[in-house]
Formats: sequence, C-alpha cells, structure tokens
Amino acid sequence: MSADDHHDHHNPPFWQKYIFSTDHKMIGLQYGLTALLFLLFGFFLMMMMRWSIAYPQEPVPSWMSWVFTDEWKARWLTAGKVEGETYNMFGAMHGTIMVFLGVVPLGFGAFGNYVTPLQIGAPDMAFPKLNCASYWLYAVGGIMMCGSFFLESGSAKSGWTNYPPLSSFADSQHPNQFFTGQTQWLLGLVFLISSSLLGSVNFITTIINLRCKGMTWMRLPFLVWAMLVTAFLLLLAFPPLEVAGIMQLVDRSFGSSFFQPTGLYTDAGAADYAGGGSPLLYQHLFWFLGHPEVYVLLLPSIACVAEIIPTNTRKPLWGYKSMVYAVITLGFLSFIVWAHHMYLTGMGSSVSTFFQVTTVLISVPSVVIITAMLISLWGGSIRFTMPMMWACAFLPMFGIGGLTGLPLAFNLVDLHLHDTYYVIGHFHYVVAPGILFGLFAGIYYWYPKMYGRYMNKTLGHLHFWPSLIFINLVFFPMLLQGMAGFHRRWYNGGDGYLVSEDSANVFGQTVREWIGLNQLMSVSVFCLAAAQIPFIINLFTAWKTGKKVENDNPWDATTLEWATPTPPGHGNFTFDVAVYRGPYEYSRPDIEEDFYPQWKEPVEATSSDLDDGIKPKSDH
Amino acid sequence: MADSPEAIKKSVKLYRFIGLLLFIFTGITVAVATIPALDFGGHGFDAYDAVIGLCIATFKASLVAVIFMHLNHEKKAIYWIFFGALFFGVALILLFALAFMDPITFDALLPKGVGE
Amino acid sequence: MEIPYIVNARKDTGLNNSKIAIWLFLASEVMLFGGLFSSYIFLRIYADYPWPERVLPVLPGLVNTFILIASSVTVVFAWASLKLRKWGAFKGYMSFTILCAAVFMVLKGFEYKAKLTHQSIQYNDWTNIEGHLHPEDHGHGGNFYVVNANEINFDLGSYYDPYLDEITARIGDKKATAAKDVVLNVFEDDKLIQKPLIKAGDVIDLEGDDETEGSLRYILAKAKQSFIETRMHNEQVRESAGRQSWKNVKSNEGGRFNAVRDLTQYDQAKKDAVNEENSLILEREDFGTIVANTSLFKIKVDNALIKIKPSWGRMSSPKEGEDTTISLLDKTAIVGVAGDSGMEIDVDAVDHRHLVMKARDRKYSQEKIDGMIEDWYANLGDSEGAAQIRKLWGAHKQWRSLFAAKLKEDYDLDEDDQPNRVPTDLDMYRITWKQMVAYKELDYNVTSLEEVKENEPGMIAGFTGANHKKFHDSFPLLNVARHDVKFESVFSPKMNNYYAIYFTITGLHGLHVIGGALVLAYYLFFGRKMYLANPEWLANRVEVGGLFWHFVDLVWIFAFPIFYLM
Repeated sequence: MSADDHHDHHNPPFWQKYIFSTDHKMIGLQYGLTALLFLLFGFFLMMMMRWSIAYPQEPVPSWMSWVFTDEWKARWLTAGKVEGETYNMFGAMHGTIMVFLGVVPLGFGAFGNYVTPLQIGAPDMAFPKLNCASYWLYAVGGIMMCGSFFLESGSAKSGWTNYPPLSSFADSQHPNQFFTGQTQWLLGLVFLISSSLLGSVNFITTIINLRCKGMTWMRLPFLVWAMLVTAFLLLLAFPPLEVAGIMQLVDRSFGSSFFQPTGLYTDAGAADYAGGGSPLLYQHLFWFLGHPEVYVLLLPSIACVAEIIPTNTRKPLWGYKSMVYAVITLGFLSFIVWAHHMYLTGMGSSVSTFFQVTTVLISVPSVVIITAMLISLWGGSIRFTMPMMWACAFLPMFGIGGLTGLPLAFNLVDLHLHDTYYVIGHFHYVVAPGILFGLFAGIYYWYPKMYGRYMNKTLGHLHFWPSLIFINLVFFPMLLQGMAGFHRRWYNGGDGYLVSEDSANVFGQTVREWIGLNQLMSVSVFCLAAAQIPFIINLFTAWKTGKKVENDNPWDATTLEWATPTPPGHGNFTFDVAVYRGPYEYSRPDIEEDFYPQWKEPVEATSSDLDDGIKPKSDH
Repeated sequence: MADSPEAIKKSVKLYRFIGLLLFIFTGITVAVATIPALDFGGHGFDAYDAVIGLCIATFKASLVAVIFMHLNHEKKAIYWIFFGALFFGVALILLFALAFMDPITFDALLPKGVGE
Repeated sequence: MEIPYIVNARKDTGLNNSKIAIWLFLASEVMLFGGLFSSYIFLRIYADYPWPERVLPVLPGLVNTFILIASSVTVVFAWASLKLRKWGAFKGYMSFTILCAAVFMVLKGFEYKAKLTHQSIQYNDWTNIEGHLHPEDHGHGGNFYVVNANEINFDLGSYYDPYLDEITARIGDKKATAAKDVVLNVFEDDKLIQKPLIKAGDVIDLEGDDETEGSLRYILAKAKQSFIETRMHNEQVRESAGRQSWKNVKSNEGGRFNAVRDLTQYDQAKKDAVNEENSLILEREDFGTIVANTSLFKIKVDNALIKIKPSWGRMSSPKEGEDTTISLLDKTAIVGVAGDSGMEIDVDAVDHRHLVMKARDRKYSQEKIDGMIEDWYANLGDSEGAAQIRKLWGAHKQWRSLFAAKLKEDYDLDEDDQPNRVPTDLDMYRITWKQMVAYKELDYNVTSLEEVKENEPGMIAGFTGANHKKFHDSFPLLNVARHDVKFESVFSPKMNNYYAIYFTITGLHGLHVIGGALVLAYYLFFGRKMYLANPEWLANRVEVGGLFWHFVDLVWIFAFPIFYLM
C-alpha cells in the first residue's frame, strides 16, 4: 500500500502537472521540448560558425547578430567578426549542446519516456519521482553549461571533447575558478551524468519488471529493445566520463596534475603543476564513454524508424529477432572500440590492430539492422505518410554516414583523414540527416497520440524536401574538403592560406581549389535553417488546428501505445492490458484486417496465444 | 530463500562468522605489509606484496558480496546485471593495461635503464 | 494508479522494483570506481616521480576499516531483525551503523586536516623536504610572495575585488597617488563627453567603498564603466563601418568574390574593405569615431610591503633585493623590489628519492649521485637548523649501513654473491620523522638498529603523522629562500598524483558514506510508519539501503590496502 496514494488525485495543481510532473508522458514532452530548444540554439551557434568560415572578413549580418547584447559583442566580436576564441567557444558548445543536450534527450529522454511504458503496457515508469528528478537534473546541467556564455570567461572553448592539457589551462587566468566556462561545463556534465544515471536505472527497471501480462521478451517492440540497450550503455559507459570530469575538476580547482605531464610551460613560464600525469588518461576515459555515446544517439532514432516502417509498409519487420540480437551485440561491441578515436596518440601497432578489428566488427550488427529495415520495405504496400517520408530518407542518409566511417576505422587511412572535414562530414551524416531525420519521423508519428491531431502535411513537405536537399549540400562537400586536407578547426575556413596567386605554399594551392565550397555549404546552412520554420509552425499550430484523429489507432498500428486513449491519461490504460502476440503482425492471411494488434484478444484462444509471460522463459 | 525466521536466525550466525573473518583478514593484510618477518618477495614493497594485498582484498570483497549482499542466493536478473557490470569493470581496467603492452609507447615511458 | 511490484516481487523475475534498481545503480558505481581505480593504476605506472608508497600512517585507516566492517555486519543484523519483526533490535543495530559512519567521517576529517596543514617543498635539485610552516603571525612565517611595492597596475577589464581588498589591506601607510591623469568617456546620445576623474599625483583614499568619491574603489568602478562603454562604442563603430565597407566594395567591384575564380581579386577586395572601413571611420559622419581606450589604471605607493599568496599569481624574480613584478591572476601587476619571500619550516622529513631517480635517468654514477646529495646539505647555510639537519643525515648514513648489513646477515647472499635483500630507496634516501626523533634521542650517533627502533615514537603518538607538539625539538628549523624552490604545496591534491587520487577516491567514498548514512538514518527515524503499514516493505527498503552500504564497504576494502599499504 503506497504512501503516495494520497497524491493520486486527478486534477493536480499547475506546477505538479506541468513543471514537476511525475507522469512519464509529461516528462517525455518536457524532455522533447527542452531538447528541441537546445537543438535550435546549437544550430544557431553553428550558423555563426559557418558565417565565419565562409565570410571570415565580413561582419556577422545583423539578422544573426541582433541576438547578442552590445556588451557581449564588444567582448567577443572584433569589428563584428567572429574571431578564433569566439569560434572555439561556439564550436565547443555546438558539439556539447547537440550531443548531450539535444539529441540524447530527444531520442532517449523524450521518445524513451513517452513511448516505452506505453509499449510494454505499464501504467508509468517504475520510479516516477526519480524520473522527474532526472529531467530537472538535465535542465539544470544544460542551463549551467549554456549560462556560461554570459560569464566573463565565456563558455568552454576546448572542443566538445575538452582534451587536457588545453582545457586544464583554459580560463586559468580567472581568479574565481568556479565561475569560468570550463568549470561550469564540467559541473554541468556531472549533472547530466547524474540525470542519465537515474534515467537509465528507471528505464531498465521498468522494462524488466513492468511489462504487462503476456509481454514476453520476444514480444517487445524493437523500440523497447533499443531503449533497453541504450539504457545499459548510459548506465555503464557514463561513469568513466564522470571520473574524467571529476578528475579535471580536481585539476582545475585544487591544482592537481592528473592530466598534466611533467614539464609543462605556458606563455607565463613553467606551469605551477607537480606534473607526472597523463593527457592520454583523459582521452581513454572520455572515449570509453564517447563511443558508446554514439550508439546512445543512434539507437533511439533507429528504434523510431523500426516502428514506423512496419506500420507504413503493412508488413512485419523483417528479421525482428536478428535485429534484437544485432542491437545487443552492437551495445556490447561499442564498449571495446573506443581507441579508434585515438589512433594518432602514438599508440603502437598491436593495440591499434585490436581496435581496428573491433571497429570493423561493429559494422556487422549495424549493417544487419539497416539491411533488415531495407528488406522490410520490399514488397510492402508503402503508405507515404509524413513519418514514412522521414524514415525513408533516414535509410540512405544513415547509410552514407555509416559507409564513410569505414575508412576511418583503418588507422593507415585515418592518419590522412584524422581531424579533417572528412571526419566532420562522416559523423554529421550519421547524426544530422541520419539520427535527426529518424527523430523527426518519430515526432510526426507519435504526435497524433500526444495531442490527438495530425501534423499538417503541406507544412510537413515544406519541411522535409528542403531539409533533405540542403542538408546534403551542407555535408557532402565536407567529405570532399576533408579528403583535400581541410582541418576541422579552422575558424576562417582556410582563408589564411590564400596568401597570393603564386603562393609558394603548396597547401595553399589545394586550399584554393576547394575553399569555394565553403560558401555553398554556408548558404545551404542558412537555407536549412529556413526549412525548419515550417516545422516550428507546424509543431505549435497543429496542437490546436491540426486534423483530428479518427480513432485511438490512427495509423492502424499493432503496438500497445495505440491501445490507450488519445492523449493517454494518468495511468495510461483504461482496460486490463494483456498481450497475445508479437509486435508486428501485419497482413496476416488469416485475419480480415491487415493489422492484428498485440492487445486484441484472439477469436479462438490457442495455448500459445495465451502465454501469460509470467512463467519462466524455459516453460515454452 | 532465507525468509523463514529459522533460516534468518541461522544466517545471522553466518553473518557474525563472516564479520569475524573480515576482521581477521584485515589484520593479516596489515601484518604482511608492516612486519618485516612476514615480508614476501624482496625487502620493502614489491610485486609480491601487491599481489598478496590485492588477493586478500578480493577475498574479503567476495565475502561481502556473496554473503552480506546475498549473491549466494539471488535471482537470475541480478546475476546478469552484476556479472555484466563486473565484466565491463574488469575490461575497463584490463584494456588500460592493453595500452601499456604497446612496445613503442611503453618503452619510451619507462625510466631510462629499465627493460634494456 | 499504482505502480506494481513496489513491495512484492514479480513472479517471473522474482524481484521487486527497488531491488533491480539498486543493483543497476551499483553496476554503475562499479564502473565509476572501476574508472577511478584504473586511473590509479594508470597514474602509478606512468609516474615519473617516486610514488609515495606506504607513507600514510596505517592506524587511522585500519581503525576505519574495522569500523566499516562492523557497520556492514550490523546493517545486515538490522535487516534480519526486521525480518524477525524485532523493531527494538532493528533500532539498536541501525543506530550503531549510523554511529559507525559518523566516527568514520570524523577520523577521515582528522586525516585530511593533518595533510592539509603539512607542507612539502621541492628544491631546485629535486630534493624534497616536508614539515610544518610557521604561521603568518610568527615573524616572517607563512607562505607569501613579498614585495616592497612602488606601483600597482590594475586591469580595468578584470580586476577582482577580493584581491583588491587584500592588496589595500596590506599597504601599511594607506597612502597612494595616481600615476596618470584619468579621463572618463561618457556617451550621451552617441556624443562623447570627456570628464576628468583624477590627475597624476592626486592622493587616493584606499579604504572607502565604491560610493566614496575619491576612493580607489570608486575610481576603479568609474573607470571600469568608462572602459566598457568605450569598448562597446568602438565595437559599434567598427561593426557598422565594416558592414558598410563590404557593401561598398561589393557594389564597386561587382558581387561577391570567389577565391577559386580569382584570388587576386579576392585579395584586393579584402584590402579594399579594410581601407574602406578605416576611411569610413575617419570620416566620422555616420559612424562616429574610435575613441582612445585603455584598460590600465596605475597607482603609485611608497615602498609598501605587500604579501601575496603564491596561488594568486606569479613573481617574476623572487630573489631578495631584485626588481620584481608580481602578476596576479586578475592581471593586476605589483611592481617593486622583492622582499624576503622565504618559508620558515620545521622539517619532519627529508627525501632525496626524486633527485636520485632523475639522476639515474641521466645515467649518473652512484658517486656523483651521492655527491649531489652532499652538495644539498653543504648549501643549506650555517643556521642552527642546517647544522641539525646535517647531523641527521650523518646519523641516517650510519643507520642505513647498519640496516644493509643486517639484511645481508638475515637473508644471506644469492648464488651470484649479491645480497638477497637490500634496503630500498625509501630506506636509503628518506629520513622519516620517526627516525628524526630517534636520532635526536641518540644524540645523532647510531650504533645499533635496536636503539633506533626503541626510540621511535609508536603508532599512537603519530596517529595522523608527524607529532610536532610532542617532538618539536627533534625537527630542525629551516628558512627556505624562494628562489631555491622548484615547487611547493601542502599535502593536497596539488602535491602529486598520489595525493590527488587519494583525495579523489577517499573523498568520493566519503560522500558515499554520508549519502548511505543519510538514507539509513531516514529508515531509522521515519521508517516506523512504513513498518506499521507493512513490515516487509521496510525490510525490503533496508535491504536495498544495506546493499548500498555493503558496496561502500567493498570500495574501502580495496582503497585501504592500495593507499595505506602499497
């Protein structure tokens, strides 16, 4: 008998319903909205960077620079132009925001929270209050990180990876170390890690213990499997980063030298450190998280697409079981590939061979998943609904992202490509047109469940087509530039190499051949930004004006979230929920309709249908 | 599962005994580190002492995990979680060691004169 | 709505929610401490300095280990009592557990305090001495950069109030004059009005706050505001001129420039734009003009003795009597003649191992290394403390040869006629505080090892380290000149990575102890209601809290030997 019973009334006050809500759906929406705001902010930082790359000599145009106060401009811009340090600030925060504050909260926080309990037939998460704490820790961490833009020191500026010793010395000239961008970044990170720790514990417990009657492991929708693996990655991979963060905090606040080697000099002379530490240690700890983090970004997005494809092809997901095993393998392997980010740290052949092998190995389960989804399209009667458009775009875009990664796995090729725009192009193909398209698909797909209305289709197409075109114009040239040797951290896009026509610098000639693409990419970025306007309008207007859904299951889908009222109330299900079959029973010849929902009681109960899932697995 | 009062009473005795064992082995680990007559290997701290100290610590930790944390009779899911974490935890430590096995970097890091 | 399986176990998994959750949480904790312990291994293997092995006093760690084990036992007893429905016994065992946690933290506090008040100084030749610094009020004790200042430069963009307070408090005669005229720029309706603030030679009041006219803080605040406003104005001028110039250049030369098509044209455009920008600014019509702006504010003081904590900045030349500048982190510069920045320290350990390690790296012969060590003693000067420390070294050399002989006798020679056991570098090159006490008792003449053993203080007298109260006379007093110092620190994370990882792991462990104790205390004080509602519920919760508590014990089981015994 829960002591919380007296909280369980139906009209909680505003702050309890919308601010400190413990309902997984409201928390999911909070995560989603906050993450979208952060994505927008991260996108804006990137536009500033792209301006500086393409037009390094020209002041930032007023339609972007109006955001800043005069005082901020006076401190960080020079004659209206973005200079190196400011660019570094934008670069570091763009990466941080997109990874930690944008994509993960949107994929794992928003869709995970909203959809997972519904799909397994649970009334809520196992620990609703922890869930609320998890969101607020995330919000506080995010605000701490972004708030540092207004500090005297500016925000963190050593890249999103924050490699020491660069980051250890960043802002070290400030007397009050606490109020510097780098320290705030690290503290914010500790908050975010605590948030994801609480979140992942909650998710795994929910999935293990709160599955409804009949929901056996192999009847879980793929999304739930993906969320389970993601949660395990967060649970086990984040602590080493927390260690790195704490150690860097100790370095900064107490002057220890965990990551400071002996004999460091700065412009002011010998650094006041005992020395004897190792920057490599940081890199190991960082990338121990860093690589699983890639799959934390990716899996929720793949999960959304894997839900959308069967619904819109009206046929089962091809190779559901092999996808499940692949995603588990993927999660496992992602822990032992991290050093492929560190080929250039001077590691020798034996170690790099090991990581090269595991890195190539991990492409096998990824390809299994993507191939299964491709084959799922085969022979389907595809409905090109808005979510399906995005899902279809996801497949080739993610394919490009994945395939361009293969050369980077080989350390010989990586010698040439490391830290060039090729790397940027590769992982942005994975994250932007890949992962983000999958998440857009998810938004269009579950919006009718969240608000009882469809998103507008015209605005949807206005969003989709320009996005698809311009995002490729942004990222494909990067691959070309990268192969020509463009370094990823040039704040002026290589302008400094354009000395004169007959420059003796051979590299200057190469830069000259490819620098023109900068302007193409930057203009495409601005167009891409414009293409998001229909989406923003759509997101907020469809809530009131969108076409109403005809019933609780508008897409004729089979998974449990469509068995709830629209939008689902507190406690989710209005009937005693039980599951009788696998998640993707579409177009079964023995059933009249082309979909056979998991919750629909069979006309003639067979013994296998009635498996109550409470029995140990070995019993059937 | 030790849920009946009799079983609990019985296991309380076991807990007392394990507690005693832990005290004794703490004493042993200090003794081998501080009493010269019990010093294994060469004089002073060396690899032998590290191995012995860590073995005793591991033994003590196992007692705590198995008896106090009830890992001797736990559900399957807990074993999955526990051994999964243990595997990755150990992998985390071992793979750092792998980084040292590298002939190029590690030799350069050793103090001059060692390993030549 | 009710969440299922809060108390009762789900049939197929056999577990309630909290049990799964705590194990998942512990899995994450395993990775956290796994990361920390592997960092320890990494740092120890990579260490290019002598790792301080077996330097911590063992007794506090040992007592704490016993305390944690005891609390681990009582927490399962508390759980068993609940299972047997004995509320009174539960209260007793749980209170004892929480008491253990409190005693553990108090002992930890004593250990930390002993370290944070213990100073280490590394000489330029890598010799380390450890000891207690004399406090600041004790003549020229403390740890300061000392300068007889003539002028102080403040940076208007970044000066930091606590530093300013410290500096003004240190200026004894409270007299300062402005070094230059300062004129404020005020922008009203985009028009520049210049108001004189202070003239060169004007006396500045060092004590008033930023409301008191004529005080230093008032002047700095005004000048800072003027500096920032001028900077804003200049940026606005340059930004709009920059925009206009590119517009002009583009319309003059037709569209945007593409470096791929015509590099010369692009180059020309860049130059044109800069020229255009400059001429636009000079024309002053639409954009206003650039206003001269400085971030420096300089005052003159009359030979004021100023002491600055070393962590606040750097001193360019610390040798007494030389011209020097102390540059603080907030870019304040104190210019003057260096005073005596030496540190008075009661030495309780001398350690040459780092020197020996560096010398061996350079393949120096043993004779040369011994010579270097003797040089260090020879260069200590002729104070009383220096003489005492030389006597200590003489005694230690006697002791170590006796010790080597004993090892040879006890453990014999191996087949290559080399001794089976030899003294370690720790025995050879470090004089510990216990040895110092014993050598002094023996009047610096060591004739047998047993005598030394007998005269060394026991575990209790040195519970948290060198006992300066009881054995004050055994510890020589040195005045270490600042320019002899390579690196100095208290025994904090800064000193070296051994202490850094020690503080990080034990600190995080301490936080876990506090967190666990709070949760257990919650069950103790607020669990009655839960117990009355459903005793099994509280038993489950206590089991979960207990699991965490055992994990905390488990971490300590590893932390104790690796920090105290290895």
